[in-house]
Amino acid sequence: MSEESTTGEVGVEVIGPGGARRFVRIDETPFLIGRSGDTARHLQLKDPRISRQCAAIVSDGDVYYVEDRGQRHGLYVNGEKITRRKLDDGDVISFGADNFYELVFQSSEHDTSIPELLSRIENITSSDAPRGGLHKLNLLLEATNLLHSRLPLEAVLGTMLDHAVSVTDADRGYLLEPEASGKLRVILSRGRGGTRLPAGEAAPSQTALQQALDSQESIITEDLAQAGASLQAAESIIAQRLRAVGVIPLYATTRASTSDSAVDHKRGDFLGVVYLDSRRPAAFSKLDRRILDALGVELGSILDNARLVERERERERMQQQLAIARDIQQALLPRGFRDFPHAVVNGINLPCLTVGGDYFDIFELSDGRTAFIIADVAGKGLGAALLTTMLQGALSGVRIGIEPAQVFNHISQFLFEHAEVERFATMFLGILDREGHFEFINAGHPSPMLVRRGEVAEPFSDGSFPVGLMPDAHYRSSRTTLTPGDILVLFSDGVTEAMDPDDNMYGSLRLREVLSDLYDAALDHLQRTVLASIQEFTRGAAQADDITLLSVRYRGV
Amino acid sequence: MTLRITEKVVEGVAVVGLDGRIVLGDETNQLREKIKALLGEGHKKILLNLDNVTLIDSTGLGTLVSLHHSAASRGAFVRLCNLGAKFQEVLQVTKLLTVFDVSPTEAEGVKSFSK
Repeated sequence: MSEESTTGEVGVEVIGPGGARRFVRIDETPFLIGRSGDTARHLQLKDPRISRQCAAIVSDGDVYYVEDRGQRHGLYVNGEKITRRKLDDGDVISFGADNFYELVFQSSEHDTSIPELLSRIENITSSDAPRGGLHKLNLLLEATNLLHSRLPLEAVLGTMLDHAVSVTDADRGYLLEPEASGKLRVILSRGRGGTRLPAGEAAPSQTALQQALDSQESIITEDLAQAGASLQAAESIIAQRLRAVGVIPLYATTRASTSDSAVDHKRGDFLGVVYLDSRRPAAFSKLDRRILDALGVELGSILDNARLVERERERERMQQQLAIARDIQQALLPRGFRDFPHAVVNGINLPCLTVGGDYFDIFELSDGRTAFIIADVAGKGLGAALLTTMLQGALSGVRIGIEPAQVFNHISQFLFEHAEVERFATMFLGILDREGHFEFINAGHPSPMLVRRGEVAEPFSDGSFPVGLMPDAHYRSSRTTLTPGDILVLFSDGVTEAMDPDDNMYGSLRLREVLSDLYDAALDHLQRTVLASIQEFTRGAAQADDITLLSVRYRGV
Repeated sequence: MTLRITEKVVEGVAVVGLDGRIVLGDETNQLREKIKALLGEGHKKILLNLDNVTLIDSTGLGTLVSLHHSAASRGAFVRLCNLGAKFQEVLQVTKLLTVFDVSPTEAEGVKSFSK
């Protein structure tokens, strides 16, 4: 990879045991390195000497750290064994074995100036004089977009405006962009020679702007004496004793037309306006109209590209935030299902978007009983996910001895009082003791399946409303007894309401049928079989809702 | 996809016919606006005919319940008729059958208000 193309990027150069090199950009942190699976999401090094879960590069602002996440031979930076260490440009990360993978950390945090970048791409652009500078600026933006570099957009637009001022020999230049309301707002103002103007001084003539917008063409008043009556009368022009005004409305051009033709371009969305003025009479008189039009096309294209870059960055920021939310949500789920003396448990949660509105939890109470919970917040995605963490927090009160029904009452009341949240949740909580006594509370959730030998039933529907829907919901526990070998399968409606391409639902009957053959299966096998059956049923239709399964087998005393 | 909403008054009952899906987004907003408008006009008896509703998601369910609450707080009633089997089941599971007054047909729904 050439030097130019890594400008502004952070990444690692991966050097294989054979000396092969490749560059991997760090787009997202934690940047997970490992041998396989989700723990090697960003960089897979397929070698048995690399642990599945090996290392991660994390960031704190612009500072990067590498952390050992379980590499069996230890993790080294510049030959020194570390558990966590700040990374500097050029640091070499290795994995405790000779003749092996090495990663060279690269961050090009040099504060690259626009002129410097422009001169760098000098040699890849033809230098035709009149529009050379702007053309290059545009190329730079296109490159920026491709490279995800950290080019400051304001600097690019400033350079663009400086260029327009100098080409037209104006005194002042303004860049205006439409607000959501359609009103034009000055976002940048420059004087001659790249000087910044105080914000208050920006008072472009509304009349001139309106004229240009109405005609959708550049307008120039070379001397106010020659201007139309309405322009002459415009107060701001008189107040500021302006002699010449140029307004260039900017439109997005079709993607391919950034090249030569200034004449025959297609006009896209309105992007903004470059406004130029001068106190010298006839300041713009020597400007050929075609130059102005060509300038308009070039400026429009730059602004368009700048917008794309901005949108792309915004999208990346959002994705990063979502990835963080996903990590937190998954980390809050129980992991490494341990067996309890009287019960075996297993669970899985598959959100249909990055984060979801389902969750489950399993924990032991101080009296030795085991509690398990499944909850399904109405809706899916981030909004629902926010509430699942709140539910989980509230329900953990059961763990410290608060009566479960009391917790349900409280959650329901709380959600109802905050009705503007417009969310409710169905929940099921079960508590199983060693003798098989089973206490449960059902808040509008589908009854879990009880698999007793080959028979499947849904006997746990006794209960009340979903939490958060009704002002006077009261919950109380119901009780029953399980016999050794019984399996409880808790599920969210994403399971039974999974749809095939013809909008048929999977349904609880199918689930019962599948489960009836699985009464003596290991729980992870049971779950895999259920998921496979759903997958087979949906025939590739997109998963429309979060899917959660939680299974519990009572072993007896 | 929008929710088509028709409206007529039968024996003093505002009968609102719904056709389409009651799901998160425009559809639930449309329904909410419609019922709020009826309540604003002073209607006290509102019957939702769900005969042509193909799907109600959890947000749609939440909307129906919250409309029920806002009607009750103004001394008005929102009742349902012509529920599909699937929605009937959802109301069963969520125990909300006890909250809504549900009639099998529109005629019976209208009559239920005069009892």
